[in-house]
Amino acid sequence: MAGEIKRASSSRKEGGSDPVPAVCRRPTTDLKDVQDILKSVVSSSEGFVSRHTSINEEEEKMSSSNNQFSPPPPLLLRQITSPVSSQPPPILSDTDPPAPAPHEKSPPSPDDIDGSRGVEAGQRKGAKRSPLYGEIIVLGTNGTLPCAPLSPKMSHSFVLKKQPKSTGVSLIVRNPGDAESLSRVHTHTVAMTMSKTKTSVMEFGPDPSVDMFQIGRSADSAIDFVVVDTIEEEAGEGRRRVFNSSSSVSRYSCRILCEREPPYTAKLYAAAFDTNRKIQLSAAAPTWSDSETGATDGLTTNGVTLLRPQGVFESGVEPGEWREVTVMGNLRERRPLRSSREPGPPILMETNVLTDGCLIDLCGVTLMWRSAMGLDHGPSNTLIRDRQTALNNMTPQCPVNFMTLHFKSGRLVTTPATETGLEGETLREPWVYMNCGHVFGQHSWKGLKDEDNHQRTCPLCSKVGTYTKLELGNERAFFVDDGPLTHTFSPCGHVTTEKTAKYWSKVSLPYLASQWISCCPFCSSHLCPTKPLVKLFFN
Amino acid sequence: MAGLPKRILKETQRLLTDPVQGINATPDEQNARYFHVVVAGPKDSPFEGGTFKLELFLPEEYPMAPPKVRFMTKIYHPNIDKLGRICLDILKDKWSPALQIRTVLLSIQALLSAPNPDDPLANDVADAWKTNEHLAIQTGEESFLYMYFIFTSLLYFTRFCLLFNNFS
Repeated sequence: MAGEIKRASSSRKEGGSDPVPAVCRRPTTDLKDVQDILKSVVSSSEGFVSRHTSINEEEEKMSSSNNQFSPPPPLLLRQITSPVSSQPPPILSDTDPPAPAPHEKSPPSPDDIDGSRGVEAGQRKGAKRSPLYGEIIVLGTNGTLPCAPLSPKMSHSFVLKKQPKSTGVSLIVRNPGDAESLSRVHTHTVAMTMSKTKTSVMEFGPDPSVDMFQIGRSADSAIDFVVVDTIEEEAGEGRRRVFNSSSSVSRYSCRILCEREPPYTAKLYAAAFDTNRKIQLSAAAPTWSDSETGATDGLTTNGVTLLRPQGVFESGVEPGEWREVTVMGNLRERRPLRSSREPGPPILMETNVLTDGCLIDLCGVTLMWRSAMGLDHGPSNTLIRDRQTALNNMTPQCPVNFMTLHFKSGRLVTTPATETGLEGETLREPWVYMNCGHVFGQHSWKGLKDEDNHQRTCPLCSKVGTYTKLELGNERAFFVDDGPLTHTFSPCGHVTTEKTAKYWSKVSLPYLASQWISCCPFCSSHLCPTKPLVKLFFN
Repeated sequence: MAGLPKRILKETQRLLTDPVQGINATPDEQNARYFHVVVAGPKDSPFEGGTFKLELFLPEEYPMAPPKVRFMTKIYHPNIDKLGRICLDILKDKWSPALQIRTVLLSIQALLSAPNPDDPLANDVADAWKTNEHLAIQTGEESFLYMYFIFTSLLYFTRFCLLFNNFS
């Protein structure tokens, strides 16, 4: 079985070193289309393309199986990710055709079946589309929200792309001197309570060079992407996730400003403007002013923290340190207690620029930022689907029921029609003993000493461990590499690559006021501290 | 009886198409859960050259419960009693559904090569075995001779039983 995986990966490598450009293998009609598009892009932005040629050559070597044609300039790639990666958020999708929900079980469209065609189709349309800045993915979602969204602006992910007209604002006046600025309707203002008698006001004006995206729990029009944390709740015999009615996520949590021109730098700021275009920090929020410049700044009550991965977000990446972002976009060390009134010391060597793979914690919800470039270089949906198919093609067998096990995935793998009618479909679901990693079908056998259903004896090696159903990790944004799916997170049972499992087991997420915890990115359940990942052994 | 589970069908199929050396298991024509088994005495054991008939029955709960196995041929062995019942952990508390008919029969064959006198079913045989073995260890260098004596006497006794069985 391991051999199968090795073969799959080696064939990919062969593909990668193939001297014939992959584009030549496309049917001639498609080739023409691609060439036409490439020509039009080259003529429109020649300088831009030539700057990226060397990158493209490397990229072609690295990821020819990701994109079956030679990779177009990054500009184009950004445009084409959206139809494959996720549904565009409703607020931005007025002009776009509605993307199918990724978890739909309906027969996949031709674009769905052949990822490359989807990419091509996207490319044809993409010539007119605005460039993508990046994507925000809610940690703990696996291609879909764990419960029905409360607002149309809620989703598992949010695509940030260039707006028809700039939506950004930047600071124009510090302490305008008149209290009227607070009441002016069309002015964005930030008000901070410095002391009982003093309030600092800053006035912001439109900035044509940036686009602003606001994130928070509030569903009002000022917020572009609504996020609410979920909690587990008893539901009949099982448990289900529901939105937390007493969420600690701020209604106006944070804002991201993206430059409208390449390289589309994105920056993170704490707090978001409300419908009245105001940010009013509560009296409980830490504020301060610089003694030399008089510049004022502050933190939100529960804080917005940022974790930047060390190095490029790919195989071998290590998580960095958590930093706290201020309202004005400066970085500080984290407060020892989440809502402490004493701000941490400033960090001058780092900036609030979002790099690929950054995590943004909003005290309850953690978001992941993937830049458009990062998503293009990372594993594609097609590749992850291929890995999942490879797993099923190994035809692992249950040592107890002698059934061929089959991983189901709502959005990526469809069960062939001939197999769906088989008896005991549930017997074909893969389950694992977490202590040893032996994979079985679902069975009811318990060792003599097994008292509860939770801790059970593995029939193959007699080690006692939890017995959990395996599920595939589908959200490609969380994958650090495109290796074979050999590991699972413990105890939730989400299957992913070894490097992905290792990376996430090292990421400590803020938990409650001052604790740290590692979570499965696909379902946000807490990982076992002693054994967060388990290698799977198939029969 | 409800239709045979897929597992039993598959096991039977594999036993017939890919038999284990020295073990022959054929399902009964009337009852697919009942197997007629013939195990050859393992090489370099007192039972070498003998063939032993067993019956194997798969209960309704199989594979969640172990198969029931019994020697039909009389055998002189500390872990097998006069009625042919076998004392083997995997047939009792150490059963696991990952075991199969094949592995059970292989374990029984191995039990013939390596008896376990500490967990006896036939006490007289086990006692004799133990006493002699004890003697053998005491006499040190001569132990090989004693072992040889024990094994050959066992062998001849078994053959005698076989003969007796065939005549009766």
